[in-house]
Amino acid sequence: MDMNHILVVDDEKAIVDLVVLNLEMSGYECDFALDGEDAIRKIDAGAYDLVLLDIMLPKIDGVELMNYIRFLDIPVIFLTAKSAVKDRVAGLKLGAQDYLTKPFEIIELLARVETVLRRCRKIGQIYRMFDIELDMTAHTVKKAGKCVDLTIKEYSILLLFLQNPGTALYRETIYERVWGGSYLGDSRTVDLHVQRLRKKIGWEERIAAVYKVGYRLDV
Amino acid sequence: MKFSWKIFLTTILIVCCTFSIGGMILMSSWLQQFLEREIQFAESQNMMLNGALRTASRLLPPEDYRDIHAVAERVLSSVLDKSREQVPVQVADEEERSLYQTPAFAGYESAFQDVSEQQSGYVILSEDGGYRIHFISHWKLGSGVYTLETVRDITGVFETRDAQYRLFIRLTVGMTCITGVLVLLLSKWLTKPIRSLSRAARKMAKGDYGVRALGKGQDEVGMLAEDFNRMAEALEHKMDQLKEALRRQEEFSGSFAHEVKTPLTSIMGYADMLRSRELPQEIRLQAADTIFRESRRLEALSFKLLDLMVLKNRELAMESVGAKTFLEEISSFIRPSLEQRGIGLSADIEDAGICIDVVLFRTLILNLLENAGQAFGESGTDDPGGKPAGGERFIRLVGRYHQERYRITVSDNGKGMRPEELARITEAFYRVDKARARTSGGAGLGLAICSLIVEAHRGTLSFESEAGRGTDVTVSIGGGKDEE
Repeated sequence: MDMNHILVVDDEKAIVDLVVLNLEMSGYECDFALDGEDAIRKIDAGAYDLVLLDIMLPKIDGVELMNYIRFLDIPVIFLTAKSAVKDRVAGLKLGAQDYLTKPFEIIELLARVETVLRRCRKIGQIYRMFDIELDMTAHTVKKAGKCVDLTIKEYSILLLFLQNPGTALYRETIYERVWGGSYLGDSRTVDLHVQRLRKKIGWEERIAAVYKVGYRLDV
Repeated sequence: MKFSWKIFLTTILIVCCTFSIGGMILMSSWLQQFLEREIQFAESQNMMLNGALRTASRLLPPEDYRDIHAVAERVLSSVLDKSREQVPVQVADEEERSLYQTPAFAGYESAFQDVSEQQSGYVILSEDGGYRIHFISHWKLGSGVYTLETVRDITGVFETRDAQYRLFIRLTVGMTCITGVLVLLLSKWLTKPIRSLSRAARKMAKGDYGVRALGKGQDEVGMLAEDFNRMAEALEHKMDQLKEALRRQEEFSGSFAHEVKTPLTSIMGYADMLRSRELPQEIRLQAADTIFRESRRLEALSFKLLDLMVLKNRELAMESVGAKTFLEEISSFIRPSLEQRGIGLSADIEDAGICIDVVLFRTLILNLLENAGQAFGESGTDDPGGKPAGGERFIRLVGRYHQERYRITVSDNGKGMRPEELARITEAFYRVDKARARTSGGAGLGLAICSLIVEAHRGTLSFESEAGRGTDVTVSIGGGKDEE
């Protein structure tokens, strides 16, 4: 699979570093620009699969930049502190694929990046790891070529692990991403589902419990 | 009921009543006059005939007294001459037996019984729509009393009255209609400004504060319209102020959210990384360092915000100090750090006593000097905008006493600002150069704090700037030269 190229545009160096670091760890190739002019130069020079764009930028702001990018068929995710609904709507109307407000969680950023890339057919629909194969289009999971029956929750948990290999996933994170809503400290639900999933796909060793935290897919 | 209708109906009612009463009085007095004339006429006619009959009958020998008929015939025909046929006359004796009648009298009822026997008199009778005066007089002849009754037709008088009456009714109706139309127009015209006022008030109630009532002039309605317009203006002004305040408030919250969220994003992100993965030493250090620096930034922001909030509610601790000592102390305090960045500072201060809150004013002057220092850009950077025209970076602090006010001016020959930037620099979180202010740790609250301090001292803060030439900031407060 080819590495996807992502351009991160934000005037805050600390945030750029953070985003770039995490995207690179997840296997993307990244570039960054600290202002609008630089961003346009880089977009013209390189072929990017996705642009993460802040709205308040020096020199050329994100909205103008968006108007430039939208004709290039490059998907854009807005990354901004403006959280009002009307700002979101305005951002999406400009043609952005998604809109993420600061402060955001890394895991959410990665999920959205992947979703957008997938939607725009920039990356494949199938995850393969060890003997497991997860097809997002068909919604099926195969172990060594044989179908495994998973509930919808188990499927979502597996997808979360596959998307974040080697990362400790907190129980609350798993809960929030799979069940939605905020985590109220009831860890048994998550534990029960993870244990059932482990048994069904035979990954008792691979999905490791992290003491007091949650679980991690060891690679 | 509408005001115009009230005016209309009242006027119509009054006009109708006055016309009717006046007309009645007038017509009855006319009738009275005509009647009196007719009665006089009837009386004189009767008296003349009476006199003639009396004289003629006295000439008769007593035995012929009975033959009054012949006498009357003779006398009347000679007196009335040819008009005898038309004048109705009757002569009767005391038993009311008719002794003589002219042909014109035929058909008339005698009216003796209505008039006293001793005196002459008249009675007005009406019959079949006709009116007549029966005048009755008596004369004595021997032992008998004879009666002369003349009749005068006065139907004409009453007919005239009726005609006039009809005319008058028509006139009244006509006049009422004309008056009505005029009054209606008049009342519409009079109430027009009131209606316009009411429309304006309704529009205003719906939220259109720009609306104004028509209407000028010196009358009450005109004055009311003017008062209304004044009120509307005051209201509009107030609403604009409120909207402006709301806009500022929203902008402040928006900027505040942005200022808080930016460091928070870094802190949360790096912390999340640290807790989720085994990271190489280098990245771990970078993450920790960023978290530390961004926390410091949040801390600085919260302190500045606290300053801003405290300032809004703080009682000033005013004391009188010498301007020269105060300002020179500040400039010598900040001079070394400016010189380190290659910026010269000169102080030219006229001494005067100024009454200030020393702590706040120190913050103010330091802030202004810091801002002036930032107009040159960072030290060591090759920023072309930071290079002054004269080649040397320079800040001047000037204090002048002028017309009972003390003016402190901080001038720099840095890069200056464009007018649209100048207009917004005292807004909280506004930064002319966002990127640089961030790296130098500014929260964008400095001038907002400055303008609050100056406001608390009842002074003015003014800016003059030209891109490429530099900026002058002037603080002007009330002061006295009491120490000289």
